[in-house]
Amino acid sequence: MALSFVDILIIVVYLAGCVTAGVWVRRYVRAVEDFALARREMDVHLGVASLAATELGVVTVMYTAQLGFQYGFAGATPGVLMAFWMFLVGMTGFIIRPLRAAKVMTIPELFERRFGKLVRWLAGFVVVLGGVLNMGIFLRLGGEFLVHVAGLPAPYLEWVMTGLLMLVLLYTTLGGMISVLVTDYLQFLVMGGGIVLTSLIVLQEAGWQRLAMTLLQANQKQFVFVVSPAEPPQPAGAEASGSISSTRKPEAHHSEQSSPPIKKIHIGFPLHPFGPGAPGALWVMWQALVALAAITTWQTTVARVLAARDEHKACAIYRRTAFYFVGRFALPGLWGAAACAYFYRQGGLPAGVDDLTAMPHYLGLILPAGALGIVIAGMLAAEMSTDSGYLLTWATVIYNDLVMPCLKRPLTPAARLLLIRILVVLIGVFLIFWGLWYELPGTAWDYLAVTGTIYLASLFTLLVAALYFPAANATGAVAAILMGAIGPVGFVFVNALTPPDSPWRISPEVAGFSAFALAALGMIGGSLAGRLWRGQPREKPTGGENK
Amino acid sequence: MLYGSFVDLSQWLWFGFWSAVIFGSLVWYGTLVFYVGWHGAKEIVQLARRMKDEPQSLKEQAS
Repeated sequence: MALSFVDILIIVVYLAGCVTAGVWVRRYVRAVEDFALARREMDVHLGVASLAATELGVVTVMYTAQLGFQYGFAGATPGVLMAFWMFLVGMTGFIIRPLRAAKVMTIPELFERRFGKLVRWLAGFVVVLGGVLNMGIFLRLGGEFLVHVAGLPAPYLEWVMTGLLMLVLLYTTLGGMISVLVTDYLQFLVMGGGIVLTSLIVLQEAGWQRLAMTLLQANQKQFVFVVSPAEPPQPAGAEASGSISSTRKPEAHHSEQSSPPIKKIHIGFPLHPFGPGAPGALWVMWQALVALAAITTWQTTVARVLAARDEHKACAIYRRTAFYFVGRFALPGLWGAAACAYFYRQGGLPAGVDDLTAMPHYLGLILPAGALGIVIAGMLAAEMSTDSGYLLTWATVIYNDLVMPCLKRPLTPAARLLLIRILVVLIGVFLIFWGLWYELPGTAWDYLAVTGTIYLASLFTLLVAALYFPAANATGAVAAILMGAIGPVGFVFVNALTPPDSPWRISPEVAGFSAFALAALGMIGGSLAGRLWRGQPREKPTGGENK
Repeated sequence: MLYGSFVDLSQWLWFGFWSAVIFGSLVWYGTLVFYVGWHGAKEIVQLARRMKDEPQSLKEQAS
C-alpha cells in the first residue's frame, strides 16, 4: 500500500469534516422544495461551486485522462467545445432562461404543461433509465482510480466504494439539496486544490515541452502499447522496490506473456483532432452536439439552473462555470498524456494496466507522501459530490415525474418528504449492487451508451420543441422519443450481427447523429400528423410567460 | 534540437493554443478556489438564514 500515515490522516479529516457538515444542515429541511431545490435560494458562487463539483467526478477524470492518453492534448477538445456552448448558453439564455422562468422542478414537468401527462411520464422514464444506469459506471471507475493510485489490493475496491456511498447516502438522505450544496462547496475547494497540486507535480515530472515532443515522437514512430493481463502476485520484495513491473519493449513484453494481449493502443496525433491517428472531424462534430445537448438537458446540470434564485443568476452560473469545463478535460487529460509519455519512455505498460488505469498508476508512482493524501481526498471529494448530486436528482425525477402523476390523492408534506428520502436510499442500494457487486457483461456497456444517447437525443429535441417550436404537440413528442431510440438500438443490433472488420458496422458517432436526426424528424413529422389526424390546435411554446 | 519535431507553423500554433489552455486552466482553477471559496462561504451563511423561515408549502397548509 502506497499511503503513508500523513496521507491517511488527511483523508480521514476530510471525510469526517464533509459528512459532519452535510448532516448538520439537515435541520433546514422541512418540505420537499427544501429537500429537492434548497427552496430555490441558491446564489451564484454557491451555484458555480456546486455545478463544478457535481460535473467533475472521478469517472470524468478517468475518461478524460484516457482521452489524454490516447490523443494527447487533442483529447481535451470536448472540454473546449463544452466551455464554448456553456458560455454561449449563459450569454443568450438559450433553453435555460425559459426553463428557469417556468418554475418547474424537473424537465419532464415542463413537458406536461406542453404535451400532457403521458409525455411527462415517458420523458421521466427515459431520464431515469439513462441517468441511473449510467451512474452505475461511476462507482466502479472511481474505485479503479483509488485502488490504482493508493496501491490497494483489487478486492478492496467494492468495500471502499460501498463505504463511501454509505457516507454520501447518509448526508444526502437527511439534508437533500442543502447538504449537497454545502458538501459540494467543501468538495469544490478540496478537489480544486488537489487538481492544481497534481497538475503542477505532473508538469514538473513530465516537462511541458518535453511532454509535447515525446507524444509527437510516439505518434510519428506509430508506437503501440500492448495491454497484457495482470501478472500473478509478486513477492513482497519486488513490490516494495517501487519499480514498474515491466519496463521492456511492448513487443518483447507481449512475447514473454503466456496469455495473449487484451488490446493494443495506438498513440494518436497529440496536437489537434484532425492529424494522423487522431479521432477526426466526425468525432469533433459529434462531441459538439453531445456537449450542447448535455449542458441543456442533463438533469443534474439543469438542477442547478432550477435551484438558482432567478433566470439571471442561472445564466451567470453558466457563464462563470464555462471555462471550468476546459480544465475539466484539459487537466486530467494532461495527467493521461503525461502517463502515456512516461510509459512510452519506459518501453510499455505494466501488466494489468491499460489506457484507462495508466493515469492513476502513474500518479501512484510520482506523487510524494502528503501530496498523495491531498490528491486522494480531492478525488474522493469529486466522487462524493457527483454521487450526492446524482442521487438527489434522479430521486427527484422519480418522485416528481413517475410517482406523483400516478397518485390519485395528494400526499401530506411529511409523507412527500419521506417518499423522496426513501427513493434516494433505494437508488443508492440499487447502485451498490448494479455498479459494484454485480459484474456487468461486456455487452452491457453498449446498452449504457444506448440509453445515454436516447436520453440526450429525445430530451434535447423535446426541450427545444417545447420552448421554441409553436407547432409541436403530444404526437410529435411521443414520436420524437420513439424515433430517437431507433438509431442507438439499431447500432447495437447491427454491430452484434456483423463481424468486427465489416464495413457495415455503425460507428458510435453515426448512431448518435442518427438518433438526433430521427428524433427531430419524429417531432416535426409527428406534430404535423397529429394536427392533421386529431385536429390538435397549434400551441404556444412553454416558457416564462406560461408559468 | 529541442523543438525539432514541430514540422510547420500550424504545429507551433496548436502547441501555443494548448499551452494557453492548460496554463490558463491551472490559473483559473487556482483563482476560482480562493474567489469562490470566499464568496461561497458568505452565501452559505445567507442561505442558512433564509432557510430558517417556514417554507411556503407549510405556510399554505397551516393557513
